[in-house]
Amino acid sequence: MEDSATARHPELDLEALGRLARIRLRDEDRAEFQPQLARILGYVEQLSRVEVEGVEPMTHPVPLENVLRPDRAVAPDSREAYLDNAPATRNGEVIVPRVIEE
Amino acid sequence: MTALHTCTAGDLGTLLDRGEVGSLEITEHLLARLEACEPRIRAFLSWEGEDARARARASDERRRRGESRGPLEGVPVALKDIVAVEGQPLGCASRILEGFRSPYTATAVRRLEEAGAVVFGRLNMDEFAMGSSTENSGYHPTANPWDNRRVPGGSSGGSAAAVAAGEAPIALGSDTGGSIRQPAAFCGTVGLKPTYGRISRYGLVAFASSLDQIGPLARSVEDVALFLDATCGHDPRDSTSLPGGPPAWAGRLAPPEGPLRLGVPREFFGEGLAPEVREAVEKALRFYEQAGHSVEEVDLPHAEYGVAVYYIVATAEASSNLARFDGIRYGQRAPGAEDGIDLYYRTREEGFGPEVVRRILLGTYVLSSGYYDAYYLRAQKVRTLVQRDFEEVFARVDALVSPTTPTVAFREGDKIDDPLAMYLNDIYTIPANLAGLPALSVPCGFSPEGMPIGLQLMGPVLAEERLLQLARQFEEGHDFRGQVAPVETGEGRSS
Amino acid sequence: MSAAWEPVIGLEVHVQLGTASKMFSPVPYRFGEEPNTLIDPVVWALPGSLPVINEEAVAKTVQLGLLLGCEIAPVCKWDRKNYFYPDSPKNYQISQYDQPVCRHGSVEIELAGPSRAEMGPHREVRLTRIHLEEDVGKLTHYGKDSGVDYNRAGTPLVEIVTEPDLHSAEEAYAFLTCLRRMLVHAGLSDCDMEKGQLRCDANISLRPAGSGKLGTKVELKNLNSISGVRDGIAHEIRRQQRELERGNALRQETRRWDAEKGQTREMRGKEEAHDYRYFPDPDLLPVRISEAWKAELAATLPERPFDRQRRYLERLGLPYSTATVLIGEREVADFFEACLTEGGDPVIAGNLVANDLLRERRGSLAELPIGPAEVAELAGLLAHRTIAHATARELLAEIVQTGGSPSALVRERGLEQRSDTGELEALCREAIENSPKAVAQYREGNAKAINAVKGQVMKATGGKADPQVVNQLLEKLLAD
Ligand SMILES: [Mg+2]
Ligand SMILES: [Zn+2]
Repeated sequence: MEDSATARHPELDLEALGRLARIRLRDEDRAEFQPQLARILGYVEQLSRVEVEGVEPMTHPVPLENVLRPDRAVAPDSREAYLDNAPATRNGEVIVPRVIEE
Repeated sequence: MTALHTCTAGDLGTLLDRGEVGSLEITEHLLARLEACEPRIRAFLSWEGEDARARARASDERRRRGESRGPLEGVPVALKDIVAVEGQPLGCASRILEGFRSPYTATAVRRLEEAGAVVFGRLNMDEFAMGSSTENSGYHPTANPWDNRRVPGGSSGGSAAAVAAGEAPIALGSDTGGSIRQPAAFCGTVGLKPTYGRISRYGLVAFASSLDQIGPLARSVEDVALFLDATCGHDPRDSTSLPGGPPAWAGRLAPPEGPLRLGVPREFFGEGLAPEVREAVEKALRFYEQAGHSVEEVDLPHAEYGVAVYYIVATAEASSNLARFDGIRYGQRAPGAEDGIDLYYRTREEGFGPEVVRRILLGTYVLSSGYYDAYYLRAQKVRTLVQRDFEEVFARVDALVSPTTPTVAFREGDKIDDPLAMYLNDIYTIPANLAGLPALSVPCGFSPEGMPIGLQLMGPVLAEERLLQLARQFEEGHDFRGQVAPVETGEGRSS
Repeated sequence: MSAAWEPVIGLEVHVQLGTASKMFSPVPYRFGEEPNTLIDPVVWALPGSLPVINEEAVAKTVQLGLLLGCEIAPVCKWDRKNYFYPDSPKNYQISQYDQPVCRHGSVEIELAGPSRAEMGPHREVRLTRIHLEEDVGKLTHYGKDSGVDYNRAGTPLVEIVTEPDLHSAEEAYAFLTCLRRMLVHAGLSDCDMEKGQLRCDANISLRPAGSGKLGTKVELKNLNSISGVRDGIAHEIRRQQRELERGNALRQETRRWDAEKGQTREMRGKEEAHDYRYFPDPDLLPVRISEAWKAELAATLPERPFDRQRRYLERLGLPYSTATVLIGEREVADFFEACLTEGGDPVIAGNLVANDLLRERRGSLAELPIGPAEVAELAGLLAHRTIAHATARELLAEIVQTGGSPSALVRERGLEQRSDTGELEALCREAIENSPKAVAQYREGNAKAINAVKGQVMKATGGKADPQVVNQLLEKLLAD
C-alpha cells in the first residue's frame, strides 16, 4: 500500500513544502515523512469517489453573515507585557536578525 | 474531608453553600491530591499553587461578604494548556512556546472567573491539540489513571486524566475532531463538545478554526452543565460566536419530556469496532428503550469520508494558524540564524514536534497551487454532504447514539509510529466537528480488562439541553457518576 | 519616447482608510507614535486572538466603489494570503481573493492641456477590482539586525488594481492625482504619501507600437510619492527601451525605485515563485452588501471633483484655471459654493477664493475669521465697482487675520473707489505733464506706454481710482 500510494504522489515534494512552510527538514525527516504523508494522501484519495457536482463547499459551520464591529477605538494594551515575551527587543522595537530586502 | 477529591463540582457547591468547607480548603486538598498523583499520572504541565490559593481566598472572601457569583463559586477548574490566562504560561504543550506568558485572558476563562471558579493549572495535551493519545506532548506523556501503561486519549488527555484521577472536579478541554470526547471515553469521564459557536474561541489557541470548540470534562453530567452555564453565550470578540445569552441547563436535567426517537448510525458499527465496546453500547440502547424511547437504525452515508475530509480541512487551517509561531514576537527562538528568514526555518524546525510538522506539511500541500481544487475544495464539498446527512437524519430522530471510540484506551506506543492508525481512532467523533453539532460522551461500562467505555450522544445544532438530559437519565440508571480511577499515589510511574 | 515602443502600465495602489480603529480590532492607528504602542492581542497575533471586521472600513470601500462606478459585490468574503515576513505578525494577511468588495469601474483622469489655462483631454482608466485588506508593520534595517514596529499592522487598506490601461508616466501621474483627489474629497483617506497612506506599485512592459500582445512585465515597487510615480515609471520605461533597442531580452522581475539615486534596481531574487495558498478565512464570515445599505452609503457621497469642475465651467462660467483650483480641495469648493449661497457673483467670488483667499490661508478654512458671507460681500463691493480690486485684496488679507465686515471697513476708512472725473482729470493732466517720455512713446504707437502714466494716477489716489475710468480719461486727454 505504501509503495502504490507513493507512486500515485510523485509530486509530493517535501523540500518545496518545507520551504513554503518555513520548516527546515533534514534528510532523515524527509525519509520518515515521505511514506507517512504518501500513505495519508493515499487514504484521502477516497474522496475522489464522492459525487460533488454542484455541491457548495462548506467554510463555516455557522450560517452567520455580517458580523461587524462599530468603528470605535479603545485604548491599546501597554506594550510591556508583549515586549517581555519577545526574544529580542531594543528601544521598543522587536529585533530580528537582519532581513534582506525582499 | 479526605474524600473532597472524589466530590463532583455539584457536591462541592453544596458543601460550600452549607459552610462545611471553604474554597481554600478544597484547593489545598486538590493540590495535595495533585502532588500525590502527578508522579504517576503527569496530567499537568505546570501549576501555580500560590495563584490557586489566592483565587480560593478571594472566593471565600466573596462568599463571606454574601457576594457568591453562582454555583461554581469556589470550585476549582483545571485548564488545558491551550487557553490564555493573563500572566500565566500558555504553551499548547509545545517547545516553541516555552516560557511564553499570555498578556490576556480567554473569554471562556474570564467567564469561569466571573462565575467564581478557581481556575488553575496547565494540563498536558498533544502538541497544539494534534493527536489522540497525548503522546505528542512536547514535554511528556500522560498516563491513563485506570491503567498507567495506557494512554488517556487526546488531545485533551491531561484534562481527562486529571478529572479521572480526582485532581480536579472539572477540566476545560478543547475538541477539534474528538479531543474532548475520546479522552473522556478513555478515562471514564463525561465530556461534551458544544455546538460550534456556543463557547467563544477568543483566547483558545487555534488548531483548526472551523472545527475547534472549548468544552468541559467532568465526573457528572450536572458538572458539565455547570461549566456550560458559565461559559456559553455570545462574545463580540469571536465572529463565529452564536447569538444568545448564557443557558441555565444545570437546573433542567430531569429526563427529557416524552419519549424521544433515538437514531443509531449503521456506519458506526462496522469493521474495527471492538466487541466489548459494541456490547456496552448495545446495552445502553436497551436501557434507553426500557426508559421509553424508541431506537431505530439510520444512515449517514458520507460519515465514512469524515476522517479524510478532516485531515484535509484541519491540516489546511492548521498550516496557516501555526504560521505565527516564528520566534519573533514570543516563544522560543532558535540561535544561529544567518538572517531574518533563516530564523523561521531554524525556529520552526526546533520548536515543532514531528506530528505538528507532518500536519503543517500536509496542510501546506492541500492548499498549494495545483492541488487546492483536488484536495481542499473537494474536502469542503464533501463536508457539506456530511452536514446534509445529519440534517436529513435529524429531521427524523431527536438524537444519535453510538460508541465514542472504536476501542478502549490503547497502550502507550501502540500507534505512535502509524499516524493513519492514530487518525482512525477519531472515526466516530469527527463527523460532529465537521457539521458543527453538539456531542457528548458519557461512561457506559468497562472492558473485561477494566478500561472505561464511552457512549456518544449527538444532537442537532443547539440541542445541548436534550443531550444533557439523555446523559443524565443514563447516569441515574447506572453507577458511573462521580467515579474516580483507583490511582496508586505517591510513587513513580510504572511502565 | 521613440514611436517604436508603446509602454503598457497597470497600477496597484494601496490606500489606508481613515477609520478610527484598525481593520480587525478596536485599536487606533496614528502615524509617528512610539513603536509598538498601538497594539492588542489581535495586532500582535497572540495565540488565541481573533479578528472582527470593522464595519466602517467596509462602508468606506463600498463608497469608493460607488464613486468609481464599480459593481459592488452582493456578498464579499475574506481570504488568507499565506506568506512569511517579519512585518506580518500572523504570517498571513487577511485579504479578499475571489470575492472582492468592488469589481470594474474606472477613474476619470485629465492629462495636461496645451497651457495651464486650458483643459487637457479627459479619459477613463478602467479598474479591475478594489478589495479590502490589512496593512503590515514597519521594518527598520540597522547594521546587523532589523527592528519591527507593529503599530501600522492591521490598519485597513484598500487595494485598487487597474487594467493595463495606462501608456505613459504622465498618465500614471494623472491617474494617481485624480484618484487621490477623489479619495480625499470623499473623506475616505487623507492620502498623505509621506505618512505612507497611499502607496503605489506599477507593472510596466513595452511592446512594439500597434502590436496587440504584451511584452515582458516588470513589477516596479516603492513608488511612494506622487513625483516618484512619474519619475520612477519614466525611468523604467527608458531602461526597458534601452535594453530592447540593444536587442536584449527583458526578464520578468521585480525592481525597486530608488528616488534618491534616481534609478530602478533589481530586488533580491525570490527563492521561489510565490504560492500564497489563498483559502477562505474560517474566522471571518461573509459580508452581504444589501441594496438598502448601498443606498444609505450612496446618499452621503459628495459630488465627484470632475463633475463639479464641469458644473463650474458650464453653468457658472468660471475660467478653467479658477475652476481647477477650486475643485482641488473639497473644503475650498464647498466654501466657494457657500459664497454663492450668500449671493456672491460666481466669477468674482471664484477669483477671490481661488487666488486671494488661498494665498492668505494657513490651515483649515473653517478656522479663519473670514467666512463665505464676508467673501460674498467683498464680491458684491467689487461687482458694484464700489472698491478697487487692490482694496478688496487688502481687506481680505486683513479680515483673514482679524475678522470684520467688509462694507463697514470700507465706510469707516473711506475706501470707496474714486471715479469723480473732475478730480481724476486734474490728476491725469498732472501725470501727463510729468511723463513726457512715456507720452512720446504712446504717441509713436506704443499703446503699453500708457501704463506708466496710469500708474502715477493710481499711486496718487492710493490705488482707489477706478482703473477703467482713468484709462478712458488718459486716452481722451492724449487723443486731444
Ligand atoms: Mg511574520
Ligand atoms: Zn495588497
